[in-house]
Amino acid sequence: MHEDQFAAFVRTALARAGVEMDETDLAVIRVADAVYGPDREALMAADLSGTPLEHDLDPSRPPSGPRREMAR
Amino acid sequence: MTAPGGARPDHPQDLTLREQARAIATGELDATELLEATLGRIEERDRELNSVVDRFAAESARMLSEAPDGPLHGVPIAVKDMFALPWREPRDGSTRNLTGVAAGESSVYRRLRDAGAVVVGVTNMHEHGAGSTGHISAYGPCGNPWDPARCSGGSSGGSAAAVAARLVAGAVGTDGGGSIRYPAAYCGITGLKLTWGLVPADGYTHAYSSMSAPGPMCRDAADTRLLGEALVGRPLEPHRAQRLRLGHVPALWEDVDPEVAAVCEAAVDALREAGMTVTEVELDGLEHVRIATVLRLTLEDAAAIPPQVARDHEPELSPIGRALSKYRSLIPAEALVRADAVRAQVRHALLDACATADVLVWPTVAAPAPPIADTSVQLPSGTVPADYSNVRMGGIANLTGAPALSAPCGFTQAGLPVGLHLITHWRDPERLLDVADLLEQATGRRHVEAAPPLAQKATV
Repeated sequence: MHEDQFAAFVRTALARAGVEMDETDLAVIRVADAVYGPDREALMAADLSGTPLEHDLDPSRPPSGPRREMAR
Repeated sequence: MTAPGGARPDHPQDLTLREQARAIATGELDATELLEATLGRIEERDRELNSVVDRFAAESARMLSEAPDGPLHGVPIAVKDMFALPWREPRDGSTRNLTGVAAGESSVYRRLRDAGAVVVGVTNMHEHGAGSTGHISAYGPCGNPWDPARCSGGSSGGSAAAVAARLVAGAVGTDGGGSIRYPAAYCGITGLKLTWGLVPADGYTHAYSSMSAPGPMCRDAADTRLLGEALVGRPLEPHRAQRLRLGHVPALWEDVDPEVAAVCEAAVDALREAGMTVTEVELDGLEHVRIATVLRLTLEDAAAIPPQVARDHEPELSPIGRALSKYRSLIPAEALVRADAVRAQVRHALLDACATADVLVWPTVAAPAPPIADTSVQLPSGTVPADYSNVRMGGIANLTGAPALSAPCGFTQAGLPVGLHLITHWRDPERLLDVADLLEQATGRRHVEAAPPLAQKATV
């Protein structure tokens, strides 16, 4: 059976990381990617220039100091 | 006398947490009898639910015998399977935890002990905290007391189910991506995600997380305040909420089950009639909150677990957990950087919103608890996995670190609970309890006193 592009990518990428994969893994990963993949691609394509940076992020308190923005 | 929903006020397990504590303090209730009644009720009533996966008759009796005179003296509390106890290593809903947390005194254990509480059992949870449904666990799925064929939520589903079923009056959960608030909404209880860092993280399996915080889960706001005070080690002083400004965030009322939206809107109306002002508030960055939350959570988990440990543990994982642990390897690093940009954006947006509203409000979950057999939910936009829907609603509190709460606010026609989500400024977790308390008063406490069918059966 000819392996589709997604399966080939997953198998190759995991093999490079030394991770074995079976058909169950592939089926679950395929579903997960179908669900979350579009959101991830939208994030990757988003223009985030101008969004504030927070290199000293402390989740216990609100952001402090003036806003510094990502470079355009 | 019969309490709303058929609970039995003469049974110590049907008392609220504060009533139990008060009755023990005044000598009206014997703490040993309460502990035995708790263990007995778990034994009988939990068979349908599977919410308490380990019980400690001997250890809890020993804790009781040594309990100091604290605000929770002699009161049984259940804790999620993420905290080290002197006699038990946490397992994270799996066969073992992967971050090497051994048996010992976690901060949560110490704070409960110092308040005089008795740790009576460990609650079920979604495997490694990686889900909002609670149906995947090495202990088996956890049922919802309102319908045991439905999910209790995740990942703190066992804690929510145990409280809702009146097995314990209070439980401790954790919230890394909504994991206290979703189960609280599904099971009709009050769940508070505390501000990140308010409870020290030692002895907690996800202590590495910049997203996750422990918190109290109880039937109502007053009990949640009492248990929360024990966890943070200081008073969470009550204040009048009537003059506070409630910020309605329109984007998070979109794509919500119409019945859930109507119940939550009615709760907002009740708060408005009780004196709160309601204004519309916009939050920047919401369109990427879901994926930013998922990326941050999954990659923090991946980074915290040594690769060899992950590989060795692989055969013990559920098939879904195993595959998802591999899926993490495929996420490009740039995505995490972008997720952190969204995180900063949302933190600034919340801070800005707090200038015009004291508390922001939307439904905790967009749809009620799905069946264990099919954990997808039906939304106006279509059918999606519950996890996918839920994290859109709850992730902002984890990305920002701010406190958030789910308050019971009604039921669907099918009798499933609905939760109202409240979030506020980092410094004011008390304010959420004030609003939840006002909501209870404004609705005659009927939602917090309602007991699920399982709790109406004549039992121990």
